[in-house]
Amino acid sequence: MMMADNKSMAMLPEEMITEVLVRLPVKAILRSRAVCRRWAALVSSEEFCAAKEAAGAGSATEPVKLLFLSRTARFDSTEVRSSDDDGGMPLLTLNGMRRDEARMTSTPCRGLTLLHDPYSGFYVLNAATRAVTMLPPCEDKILHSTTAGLGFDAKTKESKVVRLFIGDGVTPWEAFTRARCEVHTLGGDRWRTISVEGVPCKFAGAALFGAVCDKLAPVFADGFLHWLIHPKFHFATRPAAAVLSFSVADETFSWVRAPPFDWEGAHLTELDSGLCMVREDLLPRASVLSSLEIWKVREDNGGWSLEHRVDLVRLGYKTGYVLTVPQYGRVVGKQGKKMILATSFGRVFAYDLMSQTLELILRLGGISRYETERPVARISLFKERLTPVQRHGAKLQ
Amino acid sequence: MAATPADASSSSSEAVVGGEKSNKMITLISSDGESFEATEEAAKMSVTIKHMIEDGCADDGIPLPNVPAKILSMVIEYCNKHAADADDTNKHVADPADADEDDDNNNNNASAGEKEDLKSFDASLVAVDQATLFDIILAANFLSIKGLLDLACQKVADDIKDKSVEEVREIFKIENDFTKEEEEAVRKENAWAFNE
Repeated sequence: MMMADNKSMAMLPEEMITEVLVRLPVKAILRSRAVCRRWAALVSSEEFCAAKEAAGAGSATEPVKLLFLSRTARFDSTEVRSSDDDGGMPLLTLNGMRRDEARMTSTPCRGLTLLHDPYSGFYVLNAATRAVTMLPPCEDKILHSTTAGLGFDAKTKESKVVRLFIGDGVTPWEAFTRARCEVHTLGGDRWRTISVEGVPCKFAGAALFGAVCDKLAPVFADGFLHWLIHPKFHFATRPAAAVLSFSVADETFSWVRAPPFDWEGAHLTELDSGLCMVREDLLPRASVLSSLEIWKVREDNGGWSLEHRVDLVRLGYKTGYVLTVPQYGRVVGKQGKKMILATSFGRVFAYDLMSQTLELILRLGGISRYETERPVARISLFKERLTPVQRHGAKLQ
Repeated sequence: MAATPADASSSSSEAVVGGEKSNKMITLISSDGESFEATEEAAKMSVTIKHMIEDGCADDGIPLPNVPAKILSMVIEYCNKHAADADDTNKHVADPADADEDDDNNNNNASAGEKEDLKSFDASLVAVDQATLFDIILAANFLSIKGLLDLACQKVADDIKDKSVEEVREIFKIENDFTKEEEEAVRKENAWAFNE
């Protein structure tokens, strides 16, 4: 492969080639796969992906980027865009996906994002390399009442998509209580059924119900996919568990104890590799946000403790942005040292916890002043990783 | 550690700031037998050399059979410059008692100016032909000089990032071992990266 040369010092050993390639931008790395077989194998390796991710993680001044779904002229075609593209070309266009009903997981799992819309199915996308694949079709043809997340099994080094969906039932409530579960291992060719028998059936149903109604995707943290259990889904009293957790490695369910407050309207997020619940604190007798409380699960006893409070009133005064009305505040996740907040009017900010400043990263279009829409389902953090997207056969157009 | 006042009677010693910075010179011998001198401080920027000094192998000069003279002189130049910079930073921090506002500004300007100076030094050091650049990388790797390895590798990366696949093969003297179909498949897989 390497030609023998008089100036033998002009050739670099593989170790040094890695040191050079890891400093290239993603586009150039992808091109380098065409240089020769050895280079293609080198940059596709897990070691290289990890090294590239580590090289990028160092830069503290890296600008925060987001992914978002955008409408096109056609109702059944959706663009995936980066928040820094200045209205230029999208990363890619998904034909067959209807933006208005599309959902996207809010934090990539090793650089991979899961998208779905009820009519076309599930897609896995690597935003950095723009590789995308469609997952095998699900048995329920129309996927309105389903929720899915992407997780990573550290033991087998496999990425898995886990979804909950309604079972058979005469009434919607019945269908939800008979919730079912399927898992697809990326690169495989089918969905595997997972028994939800061990789970008190209302928990699975309540998790599914909450996700469908509030358009909340599950959150991947600590090797588990976590769904928020809707506290009012036909429970006589507040249920003992607030979170349904699925171990991606063991493929079993467990749950997390309820926090010391009513969590209706709360949402989950992952911060610093830990599961957090975000509670909207409202001004008394008003639908006006006063702050967002961030509660973290305690590793030792599974209880919750208040980790941080974002005072939206004070922050609003300080920065000049109106953050308290209409009532909408979501923590999308954390990018480096900054917390990503989605607020009303489609605005998404990077919140610096140290300096308590806001930077407007994205302003989603098409959201009216009075819209009660929850656009967070169309936003995701953009975390660059070269993880390959394994295809199972059905190639995306 | 207490700061030691500069010894006025000694002509060559620098103000030592609470440390054991000796001015001992180390001899480094290139692969082609040429000898070079460097201060211990500069030489210790190479972790490899640092270990050898600490293990007591450096007394008769350190042979570096992997590094030719031309490259070794450049490496030493880098180490001298960067070791001096680290030392200067310490010096500026060390004398708060002497500082009045003017001094402070001067110190800050000097630091900023020195940073620029260092940057342009670095840039000019790696503004060399490909073969020399590769040799610097190999030397920096062998000698474990992280800053220099970083600098040289980044330069190569910057040089090739907009180059075509054919040009990259040329630079690294690599033969294309793909079949036509294989290469086409790779290009198609990430088509966006190959379009201008």
